[in-house]
Amino acid sequence: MNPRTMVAGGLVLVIAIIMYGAARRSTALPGPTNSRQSRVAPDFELKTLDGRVVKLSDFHHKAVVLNFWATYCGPCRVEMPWLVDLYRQYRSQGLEIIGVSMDDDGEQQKVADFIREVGVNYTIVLGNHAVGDAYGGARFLPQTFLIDPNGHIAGSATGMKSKSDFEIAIKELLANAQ
Amino acid sequence: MKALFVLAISAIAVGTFAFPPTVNQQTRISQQKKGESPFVCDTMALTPEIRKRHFDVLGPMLVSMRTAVRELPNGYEFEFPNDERTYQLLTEWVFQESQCCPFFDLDVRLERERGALVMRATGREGTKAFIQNDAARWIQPVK
Repeated sequence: MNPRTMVAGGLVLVIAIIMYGAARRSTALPGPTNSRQSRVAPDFELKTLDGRVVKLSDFHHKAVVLNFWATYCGPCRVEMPWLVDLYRQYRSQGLEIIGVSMDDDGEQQKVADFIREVGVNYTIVLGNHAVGDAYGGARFLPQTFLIDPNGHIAGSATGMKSKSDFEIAIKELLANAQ
Repeated sequence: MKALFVLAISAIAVGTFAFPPTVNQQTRISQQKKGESPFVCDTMALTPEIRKRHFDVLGPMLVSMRTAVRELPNGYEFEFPNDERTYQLLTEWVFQESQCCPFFDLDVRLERERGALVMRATGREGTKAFIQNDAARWIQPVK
């Protein structure tokens, strides 16, 4: 084989591998417009501060914003009043928001104080590592998953977003749920 | 050489259609500017014990030790007494904060002639607004 052809062949292989890798990485954050990529949101059973058990499957047929947060996470604290406003605004259209607190063990009082201070009006549950792992580890907070009424993850984000980003995503989620 | 060029272009074209990136298909909430650290807290950066010290002990202590606050175009600057204990507390806090909140630029400066001990918290666009939203106690004027 001609050496030039061999080099070119190698180049083709390298480019194909790089592009395949990029495509594989990006499917970790599927979007609502590509149902082919969506995966079922892992179900969970977590307790609220008053001991009530909440399952994700309890919210089947609803558009759900699942927000992993912690009281010590500044970006999470900034987002929460926005989620309060958006829940107030879109709840009647079928939106549910679940905040999963990833605070350390023994910090329930801190969680209770914080949600009272902010006036959180949506469901807050106490998370654990198993649930975090089911959603990719939840190492970086905040982490938000948009779950469609069929229980599929329609989108996700790591890190603080603006209130308008949330609103656009919620509107899109609700529109696709019609 | 021409064959090589044609093959490379073909490979790129084939790759683009065969494995299209899905970033643009993500919902808007997923969009990030390239190369920027998102506003996140790294939960693995600190142990629960160190985290408790950072947020419940060091932070409030340093807030009460500020001697001046200055607003900057992209963040804030805080002055502290220039003594060894404050320096140690401040650098401990700064290191932990930089691990937990990687989006901050944190600078500690000792001004000449035994001047002020200064800590500057700045960062990319949005950092100042973040401080204003989340760290009201830090930026309130010193009495």
